[in-house]
Amino acid sequence: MLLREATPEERRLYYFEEWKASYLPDYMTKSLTMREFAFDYNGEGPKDRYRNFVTLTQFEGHMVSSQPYAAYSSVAFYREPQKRSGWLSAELVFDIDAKDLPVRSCKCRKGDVCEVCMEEAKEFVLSISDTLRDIFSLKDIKFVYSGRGYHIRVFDEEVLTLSSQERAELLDYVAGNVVPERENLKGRYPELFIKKAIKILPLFTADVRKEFDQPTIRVHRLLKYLPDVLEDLENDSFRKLREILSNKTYLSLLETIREVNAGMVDARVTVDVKRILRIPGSLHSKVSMICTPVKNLESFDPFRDAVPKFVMER
Amino acid sequence: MSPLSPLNGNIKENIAELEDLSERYFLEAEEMIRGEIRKAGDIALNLILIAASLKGSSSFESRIAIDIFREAVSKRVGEYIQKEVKISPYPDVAFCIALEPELKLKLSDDTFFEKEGLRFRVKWREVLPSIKSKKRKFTDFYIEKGFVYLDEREAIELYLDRLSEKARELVESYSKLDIKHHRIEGLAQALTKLSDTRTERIVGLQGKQAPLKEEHFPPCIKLCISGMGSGARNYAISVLLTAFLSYARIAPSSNTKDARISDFIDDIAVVRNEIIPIIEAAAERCSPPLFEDQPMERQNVYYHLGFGLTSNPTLEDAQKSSWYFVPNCDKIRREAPSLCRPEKLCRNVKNPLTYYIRKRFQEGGKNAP
Repeated sequence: MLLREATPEERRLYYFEEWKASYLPDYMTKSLTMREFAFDYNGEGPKDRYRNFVTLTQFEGHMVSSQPYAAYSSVAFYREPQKRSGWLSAELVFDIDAKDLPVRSCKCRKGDVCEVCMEEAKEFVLSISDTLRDIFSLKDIKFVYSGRGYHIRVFDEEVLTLSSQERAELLDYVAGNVVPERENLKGRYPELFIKKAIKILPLFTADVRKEFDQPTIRVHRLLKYLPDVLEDLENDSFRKLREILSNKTYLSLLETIREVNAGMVDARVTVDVKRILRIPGSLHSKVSMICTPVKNLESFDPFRDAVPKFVMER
Repeated sequence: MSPLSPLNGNIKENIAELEDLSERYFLEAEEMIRGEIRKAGDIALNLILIAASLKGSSSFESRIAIDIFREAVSKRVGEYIQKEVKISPYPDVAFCIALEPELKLKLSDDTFFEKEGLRFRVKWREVLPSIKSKKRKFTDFYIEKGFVYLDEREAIELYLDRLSEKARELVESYSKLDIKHHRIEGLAQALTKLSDTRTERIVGLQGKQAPLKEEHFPPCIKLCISGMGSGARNYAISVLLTAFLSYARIAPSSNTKDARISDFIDDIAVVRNEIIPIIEAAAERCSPPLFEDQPMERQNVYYHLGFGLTSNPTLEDAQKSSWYFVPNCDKIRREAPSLCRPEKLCRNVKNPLTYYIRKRFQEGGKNAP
């Protein structure tokens, strides 16, 4: 599917004929008055900031009359959103962008997306949400298709007041951004790291070698033994990996896995407690897709469920 | 008067009352600060915290007072944890109750965790003080279904982290009061004396200004110098390399947030001849070369050095923007994952500058006569 930019006429069509204020999920409407809103009218970035709406009708009127190129709202809740002051709390957010995934099995060029890498981004989103649920016992988790990836938005009371540093530490855990201590291979975090390694290692190709500075010989050696390594890892063991790689190479490989994990999520979004995110239901004009709240992530298909009517009619 | 009164009641009245009651609390506090004794009662410990508050809650004196407090209560906490293996809402350490009534440290009820020696558990949010103080990471803990499972040593450490956090809050609240008392001021002076001794030791360890030695640079800085691709080059050059080189060369022992380059050097030539050429060369090695591609980034380098947006700075400009400090390893790993390729020494440092200082220190040791 051609993800091309929406014309002003197409934006008009979307906001006049298709978009409704009811596209806004409950978690947005309930907190409408406490959020900062921001708008990009021409594709040059959200220059109209510090906006605040008192009623849904007011918000609706603005969206329909301005037909923005992109529309955003804060993850933070403020006492005075129009001044961005009186910070009260903020959703915990994870941003996974398919176009920025460090390893992908598709042939997409950097910055492009396709069905394959969108699916891979979705799998990563699912693994993060599993960790949030199983490990941290968080329950109020929402997903939004952002246009070229996904946002995970967490609303549990326990996370709303976390500081930027605490969010960063949480991110390190769920993304797998720390190499487990060698002597401590037991425990939930090392298991999680191994699971991520199992997903990542099959994607190691010559391209990965170039990107992550892994010498060819190391990658070839790894690829040769990959089935055994994966079987070993399935049993929570790094034995085979250690056997085929020197100690230095083994540690370097774990670092590479960590680096790939870290690149899967945009850390700047998670740690920023005043971040603005695309408004669910709004149009991502750069790619002509709808930023869509996702009820069932496993069955969600952006190329079926997030395409505006004007694209179908193109 | 209850030993806990200084925590709960009117501080000023209590201090006066204390003085009437006995001199021994002050003497005990003084001996504690001088390191002559390692245990002290709750009142003496409180006096030390009150004294630290006179110097401000973020002062070095306050940090030292909290360290003293932590050490003094650690044995008691250890004894408590060992004794209270049953679930008990009321620890028998009075001071702990006063400071920390809500830490829900419970015995884990799962045989698997007991087998692993993880006898205690708390809700994951309860470990936030340890996370905040950067002593621990979530990845260090065994977390399951919202609970962190701990062994005895971890439980003690966690308790102490929580107590230290509370002590910090106490110092902050005391610092808002206008306390004037000659004995308290005396204790504050003793803390300052101790702080001066420690600062001298740290400065001595970290060394003074010296020409840069590239062979001692950490791996992330060597990577920056070798040039980066388009994704990470702005961060690598304008943020990390610029901050690292400037602090490593000009103020390796600086720990103030509002430092200015002009506080440390009298001649801008140090910046022009020793720092900028390395940055220029590294930018040239980027793909595509950073300053050719984005000429504004050259000004951004000076901006990060505190000279504001300029291409031709003078020392007088040194307060036009902030002199950005070297980002911590954690931050680099998150914001530019490709720059972090740690080696052995990296495991024990939290900032690239510390790596450099340690390497330089080791080298100095080896070459010492």
